[in-house]
Amino acid sequence: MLDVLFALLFDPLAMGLCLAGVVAGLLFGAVPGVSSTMALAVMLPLTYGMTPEHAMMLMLGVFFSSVYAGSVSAILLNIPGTPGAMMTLLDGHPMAQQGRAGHAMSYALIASIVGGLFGWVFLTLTAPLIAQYALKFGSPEYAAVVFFGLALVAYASSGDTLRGVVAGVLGLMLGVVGRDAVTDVPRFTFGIPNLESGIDIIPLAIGLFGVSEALAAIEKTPPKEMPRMVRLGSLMPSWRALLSEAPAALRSSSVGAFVGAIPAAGSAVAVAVAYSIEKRLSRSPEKFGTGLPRGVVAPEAANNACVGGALIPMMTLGIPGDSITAVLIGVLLLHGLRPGPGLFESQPDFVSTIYIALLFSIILTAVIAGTIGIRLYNRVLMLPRRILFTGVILLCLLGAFAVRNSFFDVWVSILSGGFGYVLVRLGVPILPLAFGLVLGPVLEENLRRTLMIHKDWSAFFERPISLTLIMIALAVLFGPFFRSLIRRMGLRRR
Amino acid sequence: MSQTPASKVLASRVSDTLPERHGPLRDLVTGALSVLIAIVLGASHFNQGGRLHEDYGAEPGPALLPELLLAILGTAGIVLIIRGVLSKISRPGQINGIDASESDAPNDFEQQSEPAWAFLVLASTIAFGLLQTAFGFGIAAAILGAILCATLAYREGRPILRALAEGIVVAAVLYGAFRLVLSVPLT
Repeated sequence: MLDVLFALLFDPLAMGLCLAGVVAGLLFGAVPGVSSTMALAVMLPLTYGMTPEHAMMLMLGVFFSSVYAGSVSAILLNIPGTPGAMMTLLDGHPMAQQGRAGHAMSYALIASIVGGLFGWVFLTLTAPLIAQYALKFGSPEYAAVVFFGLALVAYASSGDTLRGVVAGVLGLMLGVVGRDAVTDVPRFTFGIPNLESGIDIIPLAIGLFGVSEALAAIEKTPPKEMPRMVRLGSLMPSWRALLSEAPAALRSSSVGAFVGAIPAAGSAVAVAVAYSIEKRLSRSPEKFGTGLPRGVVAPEAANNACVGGALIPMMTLGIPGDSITAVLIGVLLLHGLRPGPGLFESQPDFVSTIYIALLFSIILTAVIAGTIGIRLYNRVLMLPRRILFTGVILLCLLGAFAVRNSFFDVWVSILSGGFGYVLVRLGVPILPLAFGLVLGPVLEENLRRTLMIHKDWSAFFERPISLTLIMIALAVLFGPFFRSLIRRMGLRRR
Repeated sequence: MSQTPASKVLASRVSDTLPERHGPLRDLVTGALSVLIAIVLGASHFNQGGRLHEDYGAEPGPALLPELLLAILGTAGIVLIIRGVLSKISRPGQINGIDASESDAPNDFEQQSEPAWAFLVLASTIAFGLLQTAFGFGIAAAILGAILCATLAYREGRPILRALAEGIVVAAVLYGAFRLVLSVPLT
């Protein structure tokens, strides 16, 4: 790993891209309505002409810094910039109202860096072990892992499980569009030549996570007044105060890294768990929600530890941990790399690049946000919505074209954006759709290989790993149905 | 500040515990849409000639996964329709035994929404797709930028003429960046 570290450190383009990614992420993440996923979707086409290593430096820079920056609008405006910052505002904004916005932002930054580093250590220690274990998987296990991942996403995404299943199936169907890899038979192409090579994940991700999220933000009634500048007050809390938060930061980081590694669990769950643990452990839980630094430290450490955790299923099993890693998988596929245990065997240097890129992103976020970011954020938040969303939509359309210089991709982005927005309106989560598209080819390949080798479906139930994963997935999918049935029966009896 | 709004939104995001006010209607529409997609794609799939439905021996063939998915999509759609109908007729005004007015009433954490504006922006984006074939990317982007910026300015209560100019400037900057800096062959 050291040779990769020095190679990247002395590569000015790589470091410049990481810096650019961090700056872009700090700006995008801070603005309410622009999620980390949207930021990555907008930046994704720019990676087309880059090497995979440079692409990861840029994208992980955007990823980590935008996750941290979500706390900014939570503290200053009482609006979370990203879903992971939802708990930060509970104590962060009261601190800002008390004239301690600078302290709140410093606590958030330091906790984010601690969480990010904890998640990084967790990633570098556990990913190789899981990949080594996953290398022993046969096709039934792979197919079961994909099924398990899709079931978790359908369950954990916003909305309800059944609608999540519909979205996942639609995504899988989009994944089979085009010529079959084995028999070269076209499927669902409707005679359109552009569909014969399949639907590319990148214009689809730009549409789903860029255009549709922008549309969802535009439908919200704009605030009547422009946000006012918040007085930051002093920036640095005392060392003693900072050190007293260290145990909470470490506890929350471990929660974040662990929850982040569970496919689809996501940062929203991690921050809620971390916050409630700290509240439970506190001697004065009633002070939570009134401007307590611990109420900022706990969710921010957990939120940023999730970044390292979410990369684990992506790198070791090829399953996206969340919507952001689904976009990152798009980057890898764009460069001809398929994430999964094979990556550790065939491209160990690239795996090291991911580790190093994340580490640099954490360090650069600390430096940039710590030195100039916090002071400038008040101005960034003054950016008018009309300029912001006009820019985002135009960037999506130009970016979709730039990937393959194809107008067809622009149409894919527009139509998937519109379709994604309609799904959002119907309460259908769009994340399983993207997961389905990414995982569809993997599921089909392993399903067909299993049936060809083992002749029937029993192979999935005779092997312990695939059996366990399928049973958990079925419990996750049908659990809500039985729970609701039991609840209804209970109500009827009453 | 109360913790209720955030935890309420969070709960709705991470679990199925919070019922939706428009849940039955959403179920009906989503279910109908799923069944419609399954029927249309199923008709196209089963009417496709060539080698799609051939017997490939030990290999399950290219039709296996699409047929499985069509079956699941159709079934899920029917279940959603049944659930929507049952919720509508069994307990009007209540969802899962909870008063619908309490379910997802707006809180101070959420802004009100007006989807017509989003559909207007979507329509402008589709018009951009048509315009760029007639006028090229640059002019189409400038027109779209101006329309988007003016639409959003109107909602914010800001001067529209100035917003038109701002939109053209945003489009020109991005077009220039892609064309000149990234060397994307935009026509």
